[in-house]
Amino acid sequence: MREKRSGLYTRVTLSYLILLVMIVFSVFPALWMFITSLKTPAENFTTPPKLIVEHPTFANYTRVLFDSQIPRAFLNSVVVTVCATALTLVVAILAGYGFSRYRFKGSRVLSSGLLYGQMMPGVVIIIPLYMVFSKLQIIDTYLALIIADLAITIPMAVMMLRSFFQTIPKELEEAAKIDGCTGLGALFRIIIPVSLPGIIAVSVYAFLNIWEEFLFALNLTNSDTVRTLPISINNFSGEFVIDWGAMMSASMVVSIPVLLIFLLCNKFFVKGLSDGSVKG
Amino acid sequence: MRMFKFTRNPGMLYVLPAVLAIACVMVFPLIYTFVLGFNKSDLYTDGWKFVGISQYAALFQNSDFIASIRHTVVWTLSSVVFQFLVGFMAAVLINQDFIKMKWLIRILLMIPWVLPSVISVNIWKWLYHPDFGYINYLIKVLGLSDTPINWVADENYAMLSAVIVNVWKMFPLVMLMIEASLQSVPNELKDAAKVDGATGIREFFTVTVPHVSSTCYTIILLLIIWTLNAFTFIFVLTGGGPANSTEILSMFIYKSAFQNYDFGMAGAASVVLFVITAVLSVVYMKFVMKGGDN
Repeated sequence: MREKRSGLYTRVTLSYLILLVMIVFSVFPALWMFITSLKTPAENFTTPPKLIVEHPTFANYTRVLFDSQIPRAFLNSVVVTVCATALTLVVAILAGYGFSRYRFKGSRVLSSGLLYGQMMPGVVIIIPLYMVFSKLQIIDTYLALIIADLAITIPMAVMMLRSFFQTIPKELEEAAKIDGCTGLGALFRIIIPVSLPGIIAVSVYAFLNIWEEFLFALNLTNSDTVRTLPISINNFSGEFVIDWGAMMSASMVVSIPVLLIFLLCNKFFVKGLSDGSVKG
Repeated sequence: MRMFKFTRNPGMLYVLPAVLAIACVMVFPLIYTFVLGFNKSDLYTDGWKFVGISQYAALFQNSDFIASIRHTVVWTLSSVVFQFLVGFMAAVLINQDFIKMKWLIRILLMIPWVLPSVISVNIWKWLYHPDFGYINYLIKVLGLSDTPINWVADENYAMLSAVIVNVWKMFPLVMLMIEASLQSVPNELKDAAKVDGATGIREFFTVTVPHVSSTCYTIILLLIIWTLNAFTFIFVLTGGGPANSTEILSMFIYKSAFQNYDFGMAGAASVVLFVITAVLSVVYMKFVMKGGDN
């Protein structure tokens, strides 16, 4: 008996120990970003690097907020992300509902086509999009970015919502239809209100993906008035000497909204995501 | 008559916007790429010129392209193996009954996945800094090596650096998916195994592993597809260098198109990448469809 007990103790200790190592591995880079953002350039370029900031300063933040392209890029990112997320939601709610409630000619083919869409390499799409958008002369506009970003979000959003709607009993809308609701009316009055967790999950998914989208933004924008955050931040390293303090404080500015949204919606998000991608 | 059909089955109307959007941003670009692969279109060619399969022939004689395929295989295999192993281990550890504060551990472990890629990669670039980076400092403190390693700029270490970042970024997602599947192992099964005398490790391998194996295959395929198509990590961390040692296929395509402006060649290489991805996707679909029936 005693032997078994001590076996359990080693197992508990070992498990916590390995988890602790994993947590340090996961969190340290983010922590290091925060520490670096508070240091003066002189302090950042010392050996050995120190975990404790001796002269914490917000100079990096003021430089980033008042003296760089970051605020403008932040605005651009917000515009693109909000528009593309909203568009994705509208399209995906309709399609998710259609796929979960109706069987029609080609519905199976279309819905498996969506799954394939999720696998499409971004590099394959960007070249034709770039060539066509230059012909249409919409390179370097919000519109070009928003359209391109739909390619990333729509397939997964439709799949997530379809599996969410499938869990809602059909009787709910049938009752509404008997009371004289149309199909679309039932969708808006009955399905959407009870599907809020799923819709939140999809919005967060779309938001996170568009917010960090890099490849399309890199090639479809070329001026500060349209350029989004990932590109602007990366441009910090364009010069010979990288101002790591400023770059890390800019990175903090970009990460905070993302981390907040994740913390707030974490519950819905995790479930919706694993349902959408594993169960199909 | 058409209208009548629609009203009788409005499903098609509901999915129409999504289908149109996908047609514009995916199907059309894909067809365009296929056509592009058979045409010469670069800075020196006016418009498009049909050249048949000559670009494909040139591609498979291009040593950079062949090297990029090799790099892609190394990059994908090593990333996926470790993403999966670390993620699987984390999920199994957290799923033990005696672990407290699971929600907190889970949130902390999710941070790498939530941070935007560009930012993650730049943080790592800073950690990898040969003179002022924390990693070289750690290596020195632990007594592993005294000479600073030039992680990102050394041909021998650049791929390893990129793989580490990729593993760090994606293992949390693996953990989440595996955990969800571990939680669905019915307790009766575990109890039955206990009655039969299987405990601890034996119970794990006879009951739990078979139960989650189909989820594992699905995740591994997804990871392969994602890693194959990854662009941001490599672009931001090394730009394909040093000496092309991290130039994976997506990087090769990008360089052909946007640095050499040889769109035709880039189109042909894109088709190759697409075909590889499509084959893997078909396998993935098989697994997902099977999982959906359960």
